[in-house]
Amino acid sequence: MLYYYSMIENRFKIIHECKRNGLSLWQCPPFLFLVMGLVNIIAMVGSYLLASRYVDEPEIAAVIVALVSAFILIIGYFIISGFNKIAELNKMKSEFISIVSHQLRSPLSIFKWTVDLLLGDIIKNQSIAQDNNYLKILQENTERMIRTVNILLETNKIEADRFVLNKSMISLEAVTEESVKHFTDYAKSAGITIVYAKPEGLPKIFADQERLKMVIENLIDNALRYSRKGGNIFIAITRGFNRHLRWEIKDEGVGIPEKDQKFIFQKFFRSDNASRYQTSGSGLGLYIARALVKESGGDMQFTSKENEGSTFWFTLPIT
Amino acid sequence: MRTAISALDAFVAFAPLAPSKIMSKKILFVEDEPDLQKTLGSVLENIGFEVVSAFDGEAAVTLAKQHLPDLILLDLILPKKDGFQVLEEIKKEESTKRIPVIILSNLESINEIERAIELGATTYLIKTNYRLDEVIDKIKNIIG
Repeated sequence: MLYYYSMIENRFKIIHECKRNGLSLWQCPPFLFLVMGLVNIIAMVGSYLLASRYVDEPEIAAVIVALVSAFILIIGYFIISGFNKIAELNKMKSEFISIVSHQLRSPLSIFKWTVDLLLGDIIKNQSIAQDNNYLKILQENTERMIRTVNILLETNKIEADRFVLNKSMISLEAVTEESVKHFTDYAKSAGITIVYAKPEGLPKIFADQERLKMVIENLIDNALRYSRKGGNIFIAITRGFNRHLRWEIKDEGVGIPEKDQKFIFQKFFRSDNASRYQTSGSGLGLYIARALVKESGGDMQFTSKENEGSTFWFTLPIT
Repeated sequence: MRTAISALDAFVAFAPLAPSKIMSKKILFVEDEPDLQKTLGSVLENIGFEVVSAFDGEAAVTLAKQHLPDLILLDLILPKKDGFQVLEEIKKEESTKRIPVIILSNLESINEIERAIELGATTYLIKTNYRLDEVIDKIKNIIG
């Protein structure tokens, strides 16, 4: 009973949502479904009444009418949930465009103002303008824009299935070491310690080095973003089951709320918790990372508890 | 004699009008991008404003109450509390509700602009659409 009540309540919420998005009642799928159900019931009762008046065995007629109605209702349900999914995807896409345009605009506004500052005559004291830190700001933001654009292009490749891995024999532990080094300064300034003891004697794997680095850097970047000052991040590589290497990263950060966990690898998804702690992020990093790992013959999973931290791991086959 | 002193006081108070007026003004700059804090923040300091920096929404509300600045420059997408919440809280609080707030954001949808103005923002500037000197002129127009 409670289930039906919450289902009906849910439908009304969606109807409210339709109104908010400028859809009229007759364009709103959940409402149309209710109308369809109602019409169906009326048609059923009407047919039964007609059948009982003019047909010898009204019970058989009633069963046929009921079956046809149930069939129509089920088909209708599938059509409407299909529409719902398309609408949901559309909404996510437009949110994505607004996130991406914001992501690109942030470094652009930094470019614009830094160049204004370096070239203009706003500042009287030129020693400030000559400070080469401003050039460093330009350099860092150029990198940031390149990363954002690369992420977009990579997503596009995954979508279009135009994904070619450039595989060679590589050492996972060496790639990890390089990526950890890349984040050392940032971690230090954020007061976070990355603990990584390079393991010895692991076999090499056949994978795309650049893409793998992208996956590892994405996971380290996430762990750092959602860690608190003074926190630790542990990275380990071990030999897993079935001739696989297992790469794992564990943080003591803010964690992912349970309600958001099932969406975490979904494209464009950003947890409320993520937005609360980090304003930048496209909601594409983990989507791409998992797609890359899967394409390389492995898998990616995680466990997480809000306020305690998350552990992400992926496996890759040993060839 | 008395009149002369008053006149002198008046002279001292108003003669170096522009610099002393700016010198005494305090701006709370709420922005989570350290690079933007550095560019706009240092320029504002260089031309004589006192700048208090906040990197998230919670700090913004606390610092606004603590410093009672003459102007608040407010970004909208912020960690911990977004700019709309900050604006709402600042406008509810008796001690801070009269402080002019300039929204400096890269969000440009009409919904966001309308919402910010409804909540009491003085003006709304889209960062990429304004040069640094234009932003400074706007600030000077409001509190200079």
